[in-house]
Amino acid sequence: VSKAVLVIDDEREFCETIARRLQLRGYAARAFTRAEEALESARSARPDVVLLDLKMPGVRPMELLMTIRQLVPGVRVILLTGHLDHELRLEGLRLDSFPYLMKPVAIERLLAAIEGLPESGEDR
Amino acid sequence: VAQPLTKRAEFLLALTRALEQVAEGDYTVRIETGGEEEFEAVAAAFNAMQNRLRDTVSSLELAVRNLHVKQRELVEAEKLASLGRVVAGVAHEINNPLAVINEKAGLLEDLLVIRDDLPSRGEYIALIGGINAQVDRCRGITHRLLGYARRVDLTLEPIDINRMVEEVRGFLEQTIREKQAAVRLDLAPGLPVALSDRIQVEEVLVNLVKNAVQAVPHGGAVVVTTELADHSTLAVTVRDGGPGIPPENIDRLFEPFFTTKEKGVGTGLGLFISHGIMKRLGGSISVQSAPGKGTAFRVELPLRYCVVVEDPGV
Repeated sequence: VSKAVLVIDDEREFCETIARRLQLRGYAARAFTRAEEALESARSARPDVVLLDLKMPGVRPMELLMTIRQLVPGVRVILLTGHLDHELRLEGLRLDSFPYLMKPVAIERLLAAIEGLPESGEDR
Repeated sequence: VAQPLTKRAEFLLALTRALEQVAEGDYTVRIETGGEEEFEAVAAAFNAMQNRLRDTVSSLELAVRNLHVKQRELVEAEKLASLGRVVAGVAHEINNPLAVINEKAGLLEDLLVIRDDLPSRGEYIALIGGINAQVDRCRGITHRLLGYARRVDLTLEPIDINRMVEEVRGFLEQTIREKQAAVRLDLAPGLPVALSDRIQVEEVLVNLVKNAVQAVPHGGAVVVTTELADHSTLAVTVRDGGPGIPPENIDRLFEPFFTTKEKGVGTGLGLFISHGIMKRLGGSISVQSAPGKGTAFRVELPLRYCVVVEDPGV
C-alpha cells in the first residue's frame, strides 16, 4: 500500500517538484503552499506522512505542527527546513523530538525518512 | 660669605635646569645636594616627586597600550561578528533556491531514467550528475554555515583534553600519512578535566591540526602542546614548521572565505568557525606567525564553561 504524503512548503517550485518525484515513486503525494488548504486536506485525506517547512507565512510554526498532529493522530511529521532560526527556538520547540532534514536533501535520504528508516534524520 | 652664596646659586641653577627637564617630560633627572644640609629637604621633595611622576607616567603608558590592544581586539571582534551575520544571511538566502535546483535536476533525472528509449539518454543523465555534484558542493558550504549558526545549545561534557588531542590526531591519520608529516604531541600530564562542548572543541582542534599538516612541506613537523594556562584555563598550541603567514594576511585570517589554499582544497571557513566556537565557549584563539618561522595557533579553553552574553555573530 503506497503511503499518502502531504508536502507543505510556501516555495511552490520546491514542494510541487518534490510531490511529483514522490508520485513517480508510487506515493500518493500532494503539494500545498498555504497552511489552511493543507490542513483542510489533512482533515479529509488523512496522510501517513507530512513533509513540513515550518516557515509558513502567517502561521505560528508550533501551532501548525500541533494542529496537524491533532487532526491526524499517528501521522509522521518530517520537518524539512532551510534553517532553524531564532523564532523556532523561542517557541521552545524541541527539534530533537522530530525527524528533520535540511534542504537541499538527497532523495534517498528523504525516502528513508518517509519510510521511517534509521538512516533518516539530520545530517551533521 | 661668598662661598655659601655660590653654592646656593649653583644649587638653584641645577634645580632650575632639572625643572626645565621635567617640563620637557624627563622624569629620570634627580638632583644632588652636594652634601649641603640646607638643600636636602628641597632635593628630597624634588626626587620624591620625580619618582612619583615616573611611576604614574609609566603606568599610564601601559594603560594606553593595553587600551589600544583591547580596542583593536574589539574592532576585530565586531568586524567578524558582522561578517558572520552577513555570511549566515547569504547562506540562508542561497539555500532555498539551491533546494529548488536540487529537486528540478532530480525530477529531470527521474524522468530520464524512465525513458529508456531516448537517444543520448546516458549523456543527459551524466550531465545531471554534474549538476548534482555542484549542488552538493554548495550545500556543503551553506550547511556548514547554517549548521554552525544553529548550534546555540551547548552540550556540556567532561573533556580530557590530552585524550581529545590524541583522538584528533587519529581522525586525521590519513591526511597526516599522505603528507608523511611528523605530528608530535607534547601533553602536560595530570591536566584537570574541562567541562565544555566536546563536539565543538573537537571541531576547533581538527581544524587547527589539519591546517598545520596542510601547511608543512612533505615530511614536515607539527607539534601539539597542552598545558594549564592558569588555574582556570587550559591551553592547546598547534605549531607547524610551515612557511608562516605574511603580516598582511594575519588580520584577515579569521574572516570567512579567506583562504590561501589551492582552489578546491579549502573553503576558508575553518578558522572563522573555530573563532566563533571559541568565543561562544568563553575561550579564545590566537595566532603567532612570521614568514619563514612557522605558525602557532593557541586555543584557550576555560575549565568551566561560563555564559558569554556577547553575541558571537553567527
